[in-house]
This record gives sequence, structure tokens and C-alpha cells, in this order.
Amino acid sequence: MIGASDVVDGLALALLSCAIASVAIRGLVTEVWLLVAQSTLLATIAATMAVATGAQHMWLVAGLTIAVRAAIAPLLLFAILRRVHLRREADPVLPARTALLGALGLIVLAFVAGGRLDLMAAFPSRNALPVGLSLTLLGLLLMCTRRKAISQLIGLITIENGIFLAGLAATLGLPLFVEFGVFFDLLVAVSVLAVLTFRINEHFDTVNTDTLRELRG
Amino acid sequence: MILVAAVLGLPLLTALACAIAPRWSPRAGVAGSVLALAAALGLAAEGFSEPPRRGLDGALYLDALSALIVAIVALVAALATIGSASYLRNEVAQGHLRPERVHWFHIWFQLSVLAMLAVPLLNNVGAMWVAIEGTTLTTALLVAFLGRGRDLEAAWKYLMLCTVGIAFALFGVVLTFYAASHGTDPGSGLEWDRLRAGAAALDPRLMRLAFVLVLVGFGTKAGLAPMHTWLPDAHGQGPTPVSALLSGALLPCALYGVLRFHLLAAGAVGTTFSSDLLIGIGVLSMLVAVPFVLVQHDLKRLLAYSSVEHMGIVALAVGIGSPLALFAAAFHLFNHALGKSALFFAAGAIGQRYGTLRLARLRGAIDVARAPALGLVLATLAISGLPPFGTFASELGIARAGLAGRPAAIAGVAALFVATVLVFGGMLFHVLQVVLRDPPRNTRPTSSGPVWLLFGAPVAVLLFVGVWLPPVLSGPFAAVARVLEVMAP
Repeated sequence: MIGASDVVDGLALALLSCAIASVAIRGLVTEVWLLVAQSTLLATIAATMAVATGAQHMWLVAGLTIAVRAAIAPLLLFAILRRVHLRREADPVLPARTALLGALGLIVLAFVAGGRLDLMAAFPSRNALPVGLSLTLLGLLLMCTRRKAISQLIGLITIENGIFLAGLAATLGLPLFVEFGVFFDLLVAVSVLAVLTFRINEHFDTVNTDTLRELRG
Repeated sequence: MILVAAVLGLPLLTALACAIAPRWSPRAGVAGSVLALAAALGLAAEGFSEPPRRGLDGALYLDALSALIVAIVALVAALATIGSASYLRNEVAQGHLRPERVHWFHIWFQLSVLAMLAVPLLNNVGAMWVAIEGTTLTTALLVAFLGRGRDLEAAWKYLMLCTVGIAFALFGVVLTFYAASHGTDPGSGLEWDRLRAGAAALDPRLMRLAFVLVLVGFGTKAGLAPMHTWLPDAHGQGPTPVSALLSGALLPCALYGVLRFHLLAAGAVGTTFSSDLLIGIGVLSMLVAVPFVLVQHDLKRLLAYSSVEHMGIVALAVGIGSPLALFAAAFHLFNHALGKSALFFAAGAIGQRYGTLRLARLRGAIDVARAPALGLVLATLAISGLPPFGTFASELGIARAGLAGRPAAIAGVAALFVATVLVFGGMLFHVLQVVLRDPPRNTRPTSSGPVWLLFGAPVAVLLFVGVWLPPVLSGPFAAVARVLEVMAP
């Protein structure tokens, strides 16, 4: 008999592999599609929890996840990619193999830390919290090791996804209106960053953030 | 409650008015923010005088601490709006800004102020998180407003660092929510007053972690070292009224978030844990600022690093935690808001006259722009804690309280002494060079209008409160100290 916990555990692992893949891959279009996959899996996890616990508001959370994280944010990212004619993360700070090794280390760290935290989570799942922590750390890794503004944005959304998953597992999500606020903020953040990316592209003729190093001291 | 509606509604209405009637936007901005200031002062008076109150079924909360932040934000916002009229006029005249974009500045400015005023009034710490994130998004657009390469760089760094930082704070909020759902008042959700009342039953392990995450998250926004690296860029690069708003109003606003969680952590974990962390991060912030002030090359970045130092001083004072220290912390926030706004307006006026903010090119300001130069010198003396200005009184209070406290507090006061003296020396050196050396041949004509009031009035107030602190201010500061009191009596 497969319980809801096992389903969530499996989905969380799938989510983790998406995040690992986005560390390894450099094609930016694939990156955005991986983000869509991440967000869809996240919504499925929320929906599974809704079925298992009967918590009505989780359906709403799942729907919002699909709308904001799997549809609007990726659409904005695709719009940026079209505008700036960019396909690949050309020269990341770390070569893919080193980045992947670092990612594995971070995941081990997250699983050890998540195990030690020993929460009596609202939803019984062995993997959800450690995977949430892993996503957060992998997102940070992406932001630190990529040079393109868009990759950094993708890292940012991965971090947010991780926190969201940890929140789902620990407390079945925040109170609903706070959740609304968080979604709204994410939406505005992505739009504002998109606007800035356009203007950086117009001004510097590139979206490499290492051209942004005039301000020091 | 009518006053809350006025305080939050006026910036929104002003933003709408600016959108509908672009030509009237400078005047609408000034009128709106002065009215909002009046409403905010009325609301603050309620917060200072009465026991904490909640409204709208627990959505809103007002105590002396929120009242102080509301008053400071509204005050700095009003000063900055008045200053923005002449600043933007000069930028348009010098060709940095198209006239048809001016009203967008006012719209985003009012929306930023709205988000900042919402932060201290929201009871739900999750909603507070949303509002603080909102301040980042709106003010980042203001930092990038003039659209030069360096503005974009500063705004990008600001957004990236603060959004990541604040994601950590969200983790802290989630942990707090989890701890509350297993505490004595599981229905409390994230309502701060109920969390505080049941803080003793929150899991100390979780609250320790939650406080560290929130300290990193909101601390990034409050410019505490070592997460301060975005601050000199954003504050130095943004348009002058925005710099004043970010330094004087937004930093206290973010620090407010840290303080709310400090009170929760103190209730759950015991008083020393979060207090010691605040002392540590405060000392680090003060010391980090010193070398950058000493070898600075840009006038507004100089002021930005001074803000890092002052936020460190307030964190230290709250960490010391005795009634005197907390009183001085509230007093210091007030002094810093006034002094730093004055400094930015003086520096901005000088910068527009010379067309640069590079310290090496700013010379002989006393001949070129007499009023701003005088304002710059006086405000520098006022902000760096020279007697008889108010900052001296508040820093003396913090030092006296710290020397009577724990070993950590005494060490903090030693750092305070070293940092204050060095930063004072560094700032005065740079400022005197700017004011007194021989002026360059050609400078740009700018219209300053009644701008001298914007640095004259705050400096006069700082002088006044340094000599004699009237009860109309000392009462509120004492009330804030009572809210922040966590030490066992």
C-alpha cells in the first residue's frame, strides 16, 4: 500500500533531481523548462497533501503555485530570453563538474541538517524538509556560480521554491493571506528584475553581471 | 483606527493623484506627505501614550515601538519629498531626466513610503515580511531611476542581496509559525502580540534558529555587517531624496523587524542569546565602517558607511538592554534619521552643483555653495556625536549603560568608542577638504530654492535636543524602552 507520504517523498526526490539538473545544465531555455518542472512538482506535492489531509486551502496554494511559479514567472523569463537573444550560460564561474560536486556536498549537508532538526512535521514525510533545504542551498549555489542575470533569477526562484516546500512540510504552508502576499511578492520581484535585466542589457549590451563591478570601496 | 487609515491611505491616494495628474505630481507629493506626517504624528501620540492596541481583528498592532518607526518614516518621507522637488528640477535641467518621467518618481516614492509605513503597523509577522519585501522592490526601482550604468548596478546588487537575505527571514518566519503551532496558543498563527504572550512556551531550539535566520535576513536589509555590502552602492548611487529615505527611514524599518523577533527569542530562549548576537553584529558593523570611511572616494558613499556604523550602534544598544540603553537606542534612531537626511540633502545639493560626487573633485564648496557647505559641516558634526548635539547625548547614554553591564556590553562600548572617534575623524577630514580647499574654475548653476531649510532645520533640532530633551520626546523614548525591555528586573 502506497500512502500519501510515499508519494510526497517520491515527488520531493524528483524535485531534487530537477534542481541538480539545473546546476549541471547550461542551456538557458532548458533551465527555464526545468523551473517549470520544479514548480509543477511543487504544485503536485501541495495537491497530494490537500487530498491526504483534507485541508481545503492547500488546493488554493497548489493552484497559485501553478499560476505564478509554473506559468507567469517562466513566461517572463522566456520573454527576457527572447529580448536579449541569449541561449546559453557561456562561461560560468565554476565548471559543470565542480559545480555538480559542490551540489552533492550541499545536498548531503541539507539531509544531515534536516535529519538533526527532527521536527514533528504537520505532514509526515522523510524527504520534504531535507529537499527543501537542498533546494535553498542549490539556488544559492546557482546564484553564486552563474554570471548571467537570468541564471541568477532562476537561482532566486529555486531558493524560494525550497523555502516553500519546507513550509509545506512543516506547517502545511503559512496562513493563507500571508501565502498570498508571498506569491504577490515573488511576482513583483520577478517583474522588477525583468525590467532591470532589460535596462542592463540596453545599457551595457550584455546581461553578464560581471560588467557590474564599477562600484567599490 | 481612522488615523491608521489616514497614515496608510494618504500615500496611496497621493500616488494615484500623481498618476492621474502628472503635472501636479511635485505639489501633490509634498501635500500628501505633509498630511501623512500629521496623521502619523497623531497616530504615534496614541501609540506612545496608551497600552498596546490591536485593531481590525488583530491585523493591526500599535505600541510605542511601532509608533516610533511610523513617526520616523513619515518625518523622513516628508523631508525627502520636499527635497525631491528641487532635486528633480535640477536633474531635468542638467539633462539626466526627461521631464515626462518625473511623476513616475513621485508614484514609486509614495508606494515605497506606503510599504514602509505598513511594516510597523502590521501585527502578523508574515504580513510584516511581505511589507518589508515590498519596500525592497519599490525602492530598487527608485535607486535605478536615473538609469545610468552605475545606478543599474547598484539596484541589481540591492535587489539580489536583499531578496536572498529576506528569503532567509522567510525561513525564520516559517519556523516561528511551526513553533507556535506546537506552543500553548496554537491558534495564534503569526500574530505578534499573541506570539509574544506565549513566547515562553515556544521551542527554544527552533526559536534560536529562527532568530538567527531573521537576523541575517532583515539584518541584510538593515545594513548590518557583514551583509551590508549592497548598502553603500544603493545609498550612494540613488537620487538624493531616495538616499535620505533609504538611510533615515528604511534602515530603522528593517531593524524593527529584527527587534520584534529579538523580543520573541528573548521570551523563548532567555535574554542573553539574542542580546549577545545583537551586540556582536553591532560591534562588527561599527568596526567594518571605519576603514571605508577613512579611505573613501565618494561623498555619498561616505555617508552610507556612516549609516552602517549607526545601525551597529543601535543594535549594540538594544543588545545591552538596560532601560537607559534602550532609551538611548530610541533617541539615537531619531537623531540618525534627522542627521542623515540633513547630510544627504547637503551632499546632494553640493554634488549637483559640481556635477560629481567624487571627493577628489569637490573642493572649495564654501565659496561655490555656501549654504549646503555650512549644512554639510554642521550636520557632520551633529551625526558624529560631537557635543552638544543630540547624537552625543544618545551615544553617551549607550556608553554609560554598557559600562554598567555585562562583559560583552563593556567590550561593545570599547568598540563604540574606537569606531566613533575614527569615523568622526575620517568624516570631518573629508568634509573639510570638500568645503575649504581652493574651488575649481567652473561649476554648474543649480536652483536650490528653500533647500537650506532641509538641512538647517534638522541640525537645529539636533542641537536643541542635545541641550535639552523636552518631555514630548523623552516620554515616547521611555515608552519605547519599556516595550523593548527583556531583562529580568
